[in-house]
Amino acid sequence: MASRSRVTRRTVIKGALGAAGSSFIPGAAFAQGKRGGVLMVAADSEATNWNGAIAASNGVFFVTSKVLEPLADQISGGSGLKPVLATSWTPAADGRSITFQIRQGVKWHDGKDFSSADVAFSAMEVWKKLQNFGRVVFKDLEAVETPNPQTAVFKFSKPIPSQLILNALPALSTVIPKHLYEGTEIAQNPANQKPVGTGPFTFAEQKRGEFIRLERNPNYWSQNQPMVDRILYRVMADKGATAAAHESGDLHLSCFSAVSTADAVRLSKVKGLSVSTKGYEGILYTCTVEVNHKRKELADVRVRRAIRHAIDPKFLLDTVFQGFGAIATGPIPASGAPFYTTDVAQYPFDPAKAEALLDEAGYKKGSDGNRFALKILPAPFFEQTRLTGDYLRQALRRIGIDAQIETNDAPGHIAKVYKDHAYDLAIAALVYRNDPAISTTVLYRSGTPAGVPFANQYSYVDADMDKLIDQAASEINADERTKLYVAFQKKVMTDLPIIPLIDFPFLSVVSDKVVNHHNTPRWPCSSWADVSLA
Amino acid sequence: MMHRGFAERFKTNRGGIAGLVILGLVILVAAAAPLLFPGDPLDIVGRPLTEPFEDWRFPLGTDRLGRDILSGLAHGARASLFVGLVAALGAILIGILIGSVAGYFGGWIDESLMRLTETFQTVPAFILALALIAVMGPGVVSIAIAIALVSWTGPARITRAEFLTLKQREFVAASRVLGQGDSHIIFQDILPNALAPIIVLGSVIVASAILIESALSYLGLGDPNRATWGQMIASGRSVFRSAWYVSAIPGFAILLTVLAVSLVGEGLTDAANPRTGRR
Repeated sequence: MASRSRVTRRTVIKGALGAAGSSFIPGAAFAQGKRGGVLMVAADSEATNWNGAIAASNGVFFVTSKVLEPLADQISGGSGLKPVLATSWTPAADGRSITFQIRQGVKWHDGKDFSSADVAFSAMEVWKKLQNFGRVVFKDLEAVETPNPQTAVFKFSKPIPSQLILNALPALSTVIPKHLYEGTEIAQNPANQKPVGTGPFTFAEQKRGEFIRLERNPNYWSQNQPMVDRILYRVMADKGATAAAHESGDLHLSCFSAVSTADAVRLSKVKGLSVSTKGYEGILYTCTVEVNHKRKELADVRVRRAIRHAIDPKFLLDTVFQGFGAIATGPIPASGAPFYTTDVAQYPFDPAKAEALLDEAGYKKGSDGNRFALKILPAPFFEQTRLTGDYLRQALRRIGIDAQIETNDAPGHIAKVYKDHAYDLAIAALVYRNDPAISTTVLYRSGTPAGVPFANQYSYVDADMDKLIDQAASEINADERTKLYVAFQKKVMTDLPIIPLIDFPFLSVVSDKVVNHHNTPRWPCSSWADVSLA
Repeated sequence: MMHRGFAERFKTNRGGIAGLVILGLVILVAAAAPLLFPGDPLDIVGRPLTEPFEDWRFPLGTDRLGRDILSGLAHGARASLFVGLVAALGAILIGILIGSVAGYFGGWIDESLMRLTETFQTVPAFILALALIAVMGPGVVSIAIAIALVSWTGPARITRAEFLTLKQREFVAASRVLGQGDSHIIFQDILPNALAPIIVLGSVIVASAILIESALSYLGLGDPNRATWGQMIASGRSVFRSAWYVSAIPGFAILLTVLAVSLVGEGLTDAANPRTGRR
């Protein structure tokens, strides 16, 4: 919306422009944004590789989505897609190809012309071969033909649901310059440290542990954009310091819950600051109990259901998540249209029923009041997963399961859960990425080799589940595909191989000086070309 | 030594007596914790973030998950004292063993043992403790072991120094003439006479062990299945601006306990050295 408005230099943006932003902070929608200024942003970590085409992760996109652009980005409503480097796309009826019209008149930051050859190179050499999710989504991509510089035709070796490819575009289609990468070791290319892109900002300077500086690209293809002169990311590892910097006015913006949820509640009452979960609809996390089916007790569905009945998600939502989130009904969050369904098995909080289920499964209470012992490994990445672990320990002890917490550092946790399977229960935050086939079904499909993180390392094997997932992955008809994913959600909640608890977005803290923000479903990972400072 | 005189002198030290009283109270609370607060102190019992004195079921309030802070404080005293005492005991045992052997035998044994001691002394104690916990895994026992392993160098040095002077004395020569073996001379003759300064140092180690345990817990390397003071402080960190008492109350408990142990230690020092002790 905002990006299509024509604004001449130095003129102000009219209030109407803030249509999307208006639901965020009513007052600020009518604030006047000018050209110029430095946007001060908190960065809580620094990636070692800024090549967003290889590492399709939110932490990388937070910075590089301003420098490198995808073919299309996500918007709410309509087709859900906004043209970026591609201006249109036409899937063939047989599902074997998609034709992209590529934007004309776009230049790389080093002055070279951008063309469909760059798209073909990125798709074949990077997304398909090197990218974490692209290796799955683009595995059947056979060739990308470029009859002219404005056309790229993606050819697939077998029929592919175009819905999946289009849903994957925002996160998985970052285009990198062929002239800098061709014939080099792509993963080791120096441009990964100082990316050269087509985006509204150029990657100017990085001082590790201090800051990352992006400068306005004066030759950006969208006229009169970007609005701000510079984006300065200050590296701030401490959540408390970030909150204090917001209060002192040193920061305009922090994303991805750079302040603790408790501090966020406090900051939301500070004048001149707003706290919101908007702008994360496309990158929701689901706090999930991962279950090791190698434990014979946990292989019994009655025990898994008992664990779910022992948990009070309302309490979790109110305390651990401070109300920021929603109770998960299944593996796909409510924002996951068109696939989402509520027509699945429900497990209300009922410790008595949980105990009855455990008794029925043959695990009676021993003389010490315990039925069996379990080891819980909460993921150390998030405050929420750690606290959920503390809660789960107490919830399970109440139904006679002697649960103990084991804490590990991040690499230790990944190795123990996803490689060595040395856990009974783990608490994870799993991301839903706009389409179940991107990073969700891999949690339920059997056959993943040990060592692949955030995949089925649960020893859960179910032939019907595998069949359902495979069918959906190759179904070309969008309606049929949706139906298959509805069936998938039902089966997940009936079998409960892992236990989704809370869908939670990240939090942003933003100064009222910022205009046009959090107006797309994955806003922190968008280009920010329309953001300005009042 | 003159044990009667020692006790007499300690009694006149007001700070030492105050420390002893506070420490006695902490020990009492720790011992009575399971009776005063039966059940798991980590259990979620009330509304989260109840303020102190707001609800008399939880006189000191509740933390982020609704766990009783007073109960955590009492049970946490057990963990802190356990870690403090076990770590100090372990450090003193290792220190005495290495220091006495080095001081008594001298020569290349002394040389090699002292180089080993210096190696440990040059590595910052806390960093070494962090590394040891990372290897052994978090838990109250492994924390006590880790702290013992990083704090034995002080007792070793002092023991060695005492042995270096005491082994020149007549009673040692007499013992040797009587045909006593090395181990008898070390442990029966010299050690009892060298013990006083080592015990004083022990109180310092108890205090620093309690602090190190808290710091480790604060960094998330404490025992996650036990209420400890450091962990209580850490859990309150994210709500520090809105609910300061969650961190401040266990912080005050640590302050009080470490202060008490230090006062007792100072009293012991003064009593052991009458010339510097009497002002």
